[in-house]
Amino acid sequence: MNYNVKVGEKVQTICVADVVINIDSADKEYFTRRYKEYEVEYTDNPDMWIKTECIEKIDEPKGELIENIRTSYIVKTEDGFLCRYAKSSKTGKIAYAIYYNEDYSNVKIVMEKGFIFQKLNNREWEYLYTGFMFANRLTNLGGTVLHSSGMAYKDIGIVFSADPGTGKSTHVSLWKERFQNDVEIVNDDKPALRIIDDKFYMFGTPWSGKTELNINTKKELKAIFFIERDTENKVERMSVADSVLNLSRQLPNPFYDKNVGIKTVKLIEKLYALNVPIYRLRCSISQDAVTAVYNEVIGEK
Amino acid sequence: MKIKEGFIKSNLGDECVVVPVGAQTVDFRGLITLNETGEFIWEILQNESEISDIVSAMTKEYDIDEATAKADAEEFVKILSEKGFLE
Repeated sequence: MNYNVKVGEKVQTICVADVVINIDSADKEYFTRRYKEYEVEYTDNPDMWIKTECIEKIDEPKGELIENIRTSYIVKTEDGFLCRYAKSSKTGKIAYAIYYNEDYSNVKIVMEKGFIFQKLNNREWEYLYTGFMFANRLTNLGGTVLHSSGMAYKDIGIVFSADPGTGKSTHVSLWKERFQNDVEIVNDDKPALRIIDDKFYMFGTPWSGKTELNINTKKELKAIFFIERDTENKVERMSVADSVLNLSRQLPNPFYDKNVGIKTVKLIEKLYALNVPIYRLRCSISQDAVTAVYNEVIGEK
Repeated sequence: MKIKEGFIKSNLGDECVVVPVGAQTVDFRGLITLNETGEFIWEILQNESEISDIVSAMTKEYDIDEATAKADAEEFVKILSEKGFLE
């Protein structure tokens, strides 16, 4: 079975981190523009299909119940797909249902029209769900997305990760302010990471959080930083335990699919095997923090 | 008793860490580090085992007496049990 769409009329074909996706959006006007920079020629054999629909009423997905975790149910449908769905605690109606095969090459997202959850509307959830499904697909293909602000200084890719509100975007904006055109913001929320010829690369993706700060580019990844706010500015290599703890919090490890988590752990092992340095950056919001990173990764200036 | 499903062990350099995956991430967002003995017991507990099985394996593997092995095994199992890693 394929959640295929009418070729040529609805589908937009995009290539993100070397993953070719035929994507059929519910909110076409908005997403066609948002994915524009990643557009490629249509193909019948993409790496992934994603279709999103907003409908008046979602029928309860039929199939064998695999797992019930809090408000989420996962069933295996008769045609071999998995379906994760959740009911609204207020109305008891099904708020969304996501159908997918095991490697996420084929995904269909169904939302109740007008669905507002955690103050987010259909468009915002479409953006989040498609981003999550892309992350799961990429993880199955041996890559990942890291919750971070990813930037390039010339050809050097560096990512700054932290919990929301710590200041990763602010730190990257300080690089931009100082180095102007030598710095590009590759993705301000979740750059993709992939291994090519035994090197890690960072890619831009259209899923960049609240902002539209992303570009369709690829840069070799030279370092990962986890930011902690401090009054002084200091860079130090992280211990293995601290690195894995921080990475596992900021990489895909969804509660509904342990296989994605297992593949994420394998990717962390590859980061180590390929000697991608992982640092703790204790920093204030200042150019001194930029200097500390510059001196460590690029060299004394 | 045995280790619940959903904990993945990974060896990185000289370190051994365990990370929760899937449904286990709902209640446990941390990480476990294991020393050599901890890793040895962890492996035994991948299959249904009793303290006596662990003690027997430890006295064969390491140059320790039964009382020391039993004390170490019980202490480690107690921690695993308290943290909810065993079933």
